[in-house]
Amino acid sequence: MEKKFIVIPVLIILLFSTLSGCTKSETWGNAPDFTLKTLKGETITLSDFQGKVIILDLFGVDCPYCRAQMPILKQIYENYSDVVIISIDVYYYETEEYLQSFIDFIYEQYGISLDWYFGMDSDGSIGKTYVKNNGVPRLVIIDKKGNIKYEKSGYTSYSDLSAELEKYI
Amino acid sequence: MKYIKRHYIFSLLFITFILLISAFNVSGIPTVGNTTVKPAEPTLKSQVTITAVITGENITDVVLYVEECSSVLQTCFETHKTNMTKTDDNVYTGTVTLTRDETTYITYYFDITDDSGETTIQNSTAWVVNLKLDEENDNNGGTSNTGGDKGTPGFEILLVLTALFVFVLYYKIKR
Repeated sequence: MEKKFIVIPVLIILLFSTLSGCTKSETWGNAPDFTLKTLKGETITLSDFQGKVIILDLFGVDCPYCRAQMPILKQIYENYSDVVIISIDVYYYETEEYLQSFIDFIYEQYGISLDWYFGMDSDGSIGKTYVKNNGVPRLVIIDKKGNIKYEKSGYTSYSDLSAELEKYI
Repeated sequence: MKYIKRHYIFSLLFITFILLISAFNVSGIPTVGNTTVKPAEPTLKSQVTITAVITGENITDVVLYVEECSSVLQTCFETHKTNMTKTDDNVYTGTVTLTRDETTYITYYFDITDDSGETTIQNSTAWVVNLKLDEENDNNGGTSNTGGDKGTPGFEILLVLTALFVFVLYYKIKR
């Protein structure tokens, strides 16, 4: 009788620890997690978007190919409502004001509103992790489980990007 | 008459005031004039010296940014940052060393800080300089109709001689 009282709680504890271990390994894949303060003042964490396909757009306002990439991302944003787009300015010397003026400029000149998440890589850590020694724009596609599935530096066309996205949606 | 005279003086004062304000503003905003790049056609991983004539009131600091880009890869790499030194009246010079193998052109621009409210001006205009790439790189992806083994003189003669030899051999066997 006494043995039963010991064995059952031990089994329950073991079961819970195993289950929690399993869920932990399924929580997030190999995409390094980070927290970003957006231009709208929100604080977002990459792993919060678990269950959704994410496009990380690592860019710099002063990079011409990064600017050219914006209308493509806008098309993706409009045509793939379930995809989360996070654009991060990885040029350490650019400021939030500068980034905001760029967004305003794109809207005023071309009528394109860049509505998705925008933020600054203020300490350079995101750029170090995701851009490494490559150039910008750098697009990274992270699948619903948090695994990096696609990485490319350089301007990417809509057809190429949407074809890549289709694999993980 | 007295009223007209007073009116005239006020108008004159007003115009002078406006002119003074505009003159003050023009001289207050730092502007970038002529810029020169040495060498004019930089090579990969070389040192580039950029000189600029910058005019403005109370300029305290000029920072030069040079960005390496590739038109082939449609991407941009590191941005080099250096403080420019004042070498003459309104003349600032800065040198950076290019680091990438893939670069086809560079862009540069200036951050100018003056002491009036610590205003920093980020120039929206970037100057572009194409790199001088070696011939091997220049020919990459290009088309060329010259050169090649088939263009070697005597190649056609060899074919004719072989045909002649085969013909003679065939003729002799038949006889």
